[in-house]
Amino acid sequence: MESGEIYINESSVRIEDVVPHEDEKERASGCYIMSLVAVMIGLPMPIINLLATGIFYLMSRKGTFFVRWNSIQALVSQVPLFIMNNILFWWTIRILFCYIDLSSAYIAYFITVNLYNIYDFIETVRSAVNTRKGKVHKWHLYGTITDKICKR
Amino acid sequence: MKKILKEFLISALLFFGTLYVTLQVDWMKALHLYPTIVGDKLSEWVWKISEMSLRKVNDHDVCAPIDSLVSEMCKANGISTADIHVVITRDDEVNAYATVGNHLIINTALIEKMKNESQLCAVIAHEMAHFRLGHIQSAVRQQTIITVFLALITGNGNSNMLANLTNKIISNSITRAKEDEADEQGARYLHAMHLDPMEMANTLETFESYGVLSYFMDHSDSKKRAEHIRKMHFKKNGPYQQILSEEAWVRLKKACL
Ligand SMILES: [Zn+2]
Repeated sequence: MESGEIYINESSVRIEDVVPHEDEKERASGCYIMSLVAVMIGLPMPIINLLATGIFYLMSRKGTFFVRWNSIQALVSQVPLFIMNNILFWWTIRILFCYIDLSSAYIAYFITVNLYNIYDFIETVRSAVNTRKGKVHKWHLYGTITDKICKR
Repeated sequence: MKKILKEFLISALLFFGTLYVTLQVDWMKALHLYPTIVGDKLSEWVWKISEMSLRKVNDHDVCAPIDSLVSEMCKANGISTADIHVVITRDDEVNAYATVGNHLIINTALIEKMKNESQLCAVIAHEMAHFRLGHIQSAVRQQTIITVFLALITGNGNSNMLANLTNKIISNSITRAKEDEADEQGARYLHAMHLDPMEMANTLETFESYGVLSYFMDHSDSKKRAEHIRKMHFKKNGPYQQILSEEAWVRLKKACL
């Protein structure tokens, strides 16, 4: 993806090298806080989570590189979570409504997804705190993906 | 791109690795859970409430002969008597039905109308077949929760309403095909306990007007169902037996009047 045709210098700026302004820090941090709040409100309904982060992304799309990068990372990290939680959600509903039986496989999946949720939660808190301080917290995989999609 | 792929593989490996490890544990056993725990617990609850609207009969003259008929049927067909709970209720409606928690309800009016023990057994066999074929369980488990929600919404959990609703839900789920299946299976039960399986067909025809053995509002299909049974072939199974003594049968009928 060779996208930086003219502004080769600017597009090669890495997120780690950006020195954000105070208001940028606040907005970027807001993206993560948004997804944290959404997790708490929308725990049983995973769609709310993704929707909230998505809306925040749309709002910060016109923002500076620092804000954009962080809002994209917040969004990207929500996608797999959304899929996993969705499966868990409907699986649970089906069990509650007695369409299928409670099984060991369900409990195994429940534990795995919850572990992943905890990991995601911790990473989100770390990101929120770090961006507030003006530092970038790059997640495993999602940070790399964000680097790919978010150019200056 | 290579980096993404590498990191993606690590993430996927971690995720599925965790899933794989957690899958190795038999959680159901470790946590003492039963597969149908939710549905069964709810069924129990619904039964407890709907039970209150029933006028149970505890008369020995009624319970003892019915019990011996049921246990005879269970024994002949390898069914555990603990799997089925027969409840006799004083009710003017000529009816018998299978409901939540493996409860088989027989109204006294039905017993009073029966010509002989074979016909009574035919009714019991048909309902028992519904249980054994899983017709009731699947219906109940899938829809009990809806009943429960309705009960919660309307408040107080009126037992009469709940009982009616439960029966409506069960009857809605029983299709014509399932009725035929239950008729067939019931006839086999009769045959196994040395009773005339054709009594199933007779009972269907005789009690057509009452809607016995039929969960449908229109009972026009009883004739067809009877024909279906008459087409079945049974091996000779020795002479038909008489389970209850003449005296016990008369007393039973009298007690149900
Ligand atoms: Zn039936």
